[in-house]
Amino acid sequence: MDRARRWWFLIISVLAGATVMCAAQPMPSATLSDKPLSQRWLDYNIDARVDAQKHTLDATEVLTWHNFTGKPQDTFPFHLYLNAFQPKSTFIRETHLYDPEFEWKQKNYGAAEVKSLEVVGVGDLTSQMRFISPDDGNSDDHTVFQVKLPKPVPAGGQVQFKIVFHDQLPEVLARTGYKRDFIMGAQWFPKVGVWWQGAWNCHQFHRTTEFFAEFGTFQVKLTLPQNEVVGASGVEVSSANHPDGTKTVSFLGEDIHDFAWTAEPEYRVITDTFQGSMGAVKIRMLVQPGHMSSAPRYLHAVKGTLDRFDKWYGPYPYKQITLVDPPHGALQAGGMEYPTLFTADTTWWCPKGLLFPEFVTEHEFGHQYWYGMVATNEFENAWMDEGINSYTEVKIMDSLYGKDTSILNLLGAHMGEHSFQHIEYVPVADDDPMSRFGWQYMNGNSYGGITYGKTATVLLTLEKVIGEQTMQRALHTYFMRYRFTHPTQEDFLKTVEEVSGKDLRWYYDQAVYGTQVMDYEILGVRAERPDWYKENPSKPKKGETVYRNTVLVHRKGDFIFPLDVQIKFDNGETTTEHWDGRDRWVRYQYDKKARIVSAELDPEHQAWLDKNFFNNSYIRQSNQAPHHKLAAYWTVISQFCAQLLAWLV
Amino acid sequence: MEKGFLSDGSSRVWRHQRILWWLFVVNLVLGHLSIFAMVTRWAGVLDHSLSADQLYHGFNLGRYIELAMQPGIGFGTASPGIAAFAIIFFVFMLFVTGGILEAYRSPYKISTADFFPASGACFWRFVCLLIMFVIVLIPVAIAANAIKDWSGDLSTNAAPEKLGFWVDVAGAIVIWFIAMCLRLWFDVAQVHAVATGERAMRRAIRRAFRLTFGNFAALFPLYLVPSLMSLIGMAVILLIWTKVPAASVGISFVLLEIWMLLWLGTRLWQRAGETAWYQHTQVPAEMPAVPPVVAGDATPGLAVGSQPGI
Repeated sequence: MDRARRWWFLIISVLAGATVMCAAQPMPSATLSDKPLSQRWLDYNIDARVDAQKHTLDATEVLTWHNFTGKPQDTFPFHLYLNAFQPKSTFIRETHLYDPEFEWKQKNYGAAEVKSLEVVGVGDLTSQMRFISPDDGNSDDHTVFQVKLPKPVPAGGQVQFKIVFHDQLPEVLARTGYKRDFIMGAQWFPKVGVWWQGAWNCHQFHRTTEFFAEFGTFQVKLTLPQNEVVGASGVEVSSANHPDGTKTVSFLGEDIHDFAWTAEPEYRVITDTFQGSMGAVKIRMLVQPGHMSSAPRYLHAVKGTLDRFDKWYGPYPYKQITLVDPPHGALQAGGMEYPTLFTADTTWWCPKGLLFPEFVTEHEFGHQYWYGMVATNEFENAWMDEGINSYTEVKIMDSLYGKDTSILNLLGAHMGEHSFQHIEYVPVADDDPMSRFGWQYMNGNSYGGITYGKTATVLLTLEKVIGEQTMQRALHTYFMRYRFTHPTQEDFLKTVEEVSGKDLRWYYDQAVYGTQVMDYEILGVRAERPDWYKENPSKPKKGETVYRNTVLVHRKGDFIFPLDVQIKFDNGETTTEHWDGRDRWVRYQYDKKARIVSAELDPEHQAWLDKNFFNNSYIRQSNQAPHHKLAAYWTVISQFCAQLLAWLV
Repeated sequence: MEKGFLSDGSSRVWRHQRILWWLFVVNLVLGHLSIFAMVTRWAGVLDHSLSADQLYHGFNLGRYIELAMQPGIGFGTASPGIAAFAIIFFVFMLFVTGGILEAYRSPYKISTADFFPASGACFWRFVCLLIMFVIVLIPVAIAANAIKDWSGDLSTNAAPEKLGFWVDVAGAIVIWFIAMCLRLWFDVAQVHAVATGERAMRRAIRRAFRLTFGNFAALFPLYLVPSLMSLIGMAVILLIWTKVPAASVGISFVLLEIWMLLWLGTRLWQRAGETAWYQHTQVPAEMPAVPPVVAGDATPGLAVGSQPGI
């Protein structure tokens, strides 16, 4: 073979060998799909070094932003959420406003400091950074900064930011921080805002708001002590030990809009697999040593929830889901969601009849769909993730644990999810509309009661109008249509109308945009003889004497809703009337050879929005047994208190 | 010897069991009266409602909370009534304790005519003792609060998760022990005051202190055993109660009232046991017990057979 051919042979062999090697080692991926699931606006590449002793972090973030806005962009807002944990921030100010007893402690101080911000190809723009406060004008709030580029990024182009930053993690006050040697790294990196509805959307961090970010990929390296057990969003790609006693763990997240991580030496790792419709999902649980008795409960809840979501709403497309069990004293980090990772909650003494670990697990996993994939604006439409998730929580918990026992089943007392959501809603029923921006609610109680409890109750009541199966189809359609996007509240409401084929605007105007309260009551029932005026009427004979039976129904609240009224008679007959609920009252009258026994509004108990269930029915003959039961128990309680006090004698 | 005093005490309680029944009836009646207003309101909401069934067959806690959220029916509305009647019972017990101790001291059945004067005679002395008892309890309450704060801090911040819990348990045992010792001391002070007619309560307290802590090994079981019996009895009754169907209100009520009776009975057993010990160890200093009424006796205010036994 001549020399030229030998060289060509060598080159081709090397290239072929390289190709074979690459083919043999598949590219890591974090999803079960072989193509991107979202429009990837962002590529985050973060290299962070964690000081577990000082609770600090130093990192370099290379953020590539792709301009899919359709127009040139030169101004970019960023979130620096950790700066909320400072005494003059909007977050702390509002915390004190809602709770005057709140005390600021220096250990709760947190900060994200940008050391330098460079735009690749443009230069250092650190001095161009400006803190802004678009929501309340609080110049002491540094949770949002903005930077203007000298030249705009053209439509279809991209810009690469290189940000060097330093974090001081707070002792956990809300979601993120440390407690002893537990670290929850959440909202820890500079995060660019979202281009939404034709403008930048980048709100300050408020006491009652959560987060809003854009989809993309995350390649994150965390360098921390070798004894740390680490969990994070996405999947672990590699782990390498270093001679100085640290290790670098690399993670990859795809088609997600946030990245959270956790580390603690004491975690016990439990893994399992769920076979979903898109493939096998690895379940990775990081559990405290003292909470191992809750591990099977967590696992049962995760698998059951994965199964129901997969069947009812759509597939879970990621390769892994990580459950983090925070330690005692760090419960503020519990019950929180991040893409492909969530924090649960339990205690060492939690009895099996109190389904706290289960409903927290279900709820936080549910956010993988309502927030994680259907990435609604949690600042402006908080009900869309918390409320829709609370509604699906009711459906799934009932399915897994029983309708009347899905929250509590202990020592003869029980409570289901429906009741739980209803109780949350009733005290704040007319405080605020669901559609209000998250930081503009009257207070924290109203925010919680409306976004969670009222929304769940609104959607449960909507089942009465369109049917339970239609509601499920509507949610399935909504999920499949809007996953990996940022829908508005009208997108959801219109989807339900589309799937149901019904005009529901009359319902939405009251339930979503209004503060009307539903309260219908049976004011009374009567059964009297038409000859009541006679001095000596004949003796009544059952089945022969005619009675005039009346039922008076009253709309006490200002929410108009059609309801059925079911009337039962003592001859076994049952009559159902349908009332449109519009007028203030309606009276039904029946002349029969029977007497009315009871009248009941909404006999199928689907109008969960009704504020008071006790007045929804009326039985003609009083039944004193229930109040005697309460009297008996409260008598004993009173006696006990008296004897306790008498011990002083 | 302690078993003898315990046995003696229980037989005194049995012999004067009308005292127990009267206390129980007063406790029950006051307990019922304290919630009378609430019962009326509950009746207004529940008697004609189908939803009430969820509180009767089974106990839907969510439905109960919804009931309590109704205006005028909340827990806060019930509290003043319960507190007021607890205070009335407390004052009642303060008044009758003198008569109870006199009755237990006597080998005979004491009449109403003697019971209430004995109660009245001791009332203000026992008020003094109560005030001093509360003063003595203040540091205990402060210590209990400090332990609670410490255990709370440990539960949040200490590395071992259960450390705060165990500190709570240990603290509760220590506080309970101290409280029992203090209660025993003042019980003996009351017994001494009734037995000797002592009018100076500070002297009575000093004397009782020496008696109590000088004979602690003999006296403490007279307090501890009935306390343990009341706790064990409570546990057994509550265990049985959990097996009773929710709608069996009558059975549940009877069981819980047995518990109330047991607690009153064990408290009286403590008083009777302490009285028995005092009589057997401190007899020379004691005043004679009230003698029974004899027919033809000219003692004014006493009559044969016509006075109902206490």
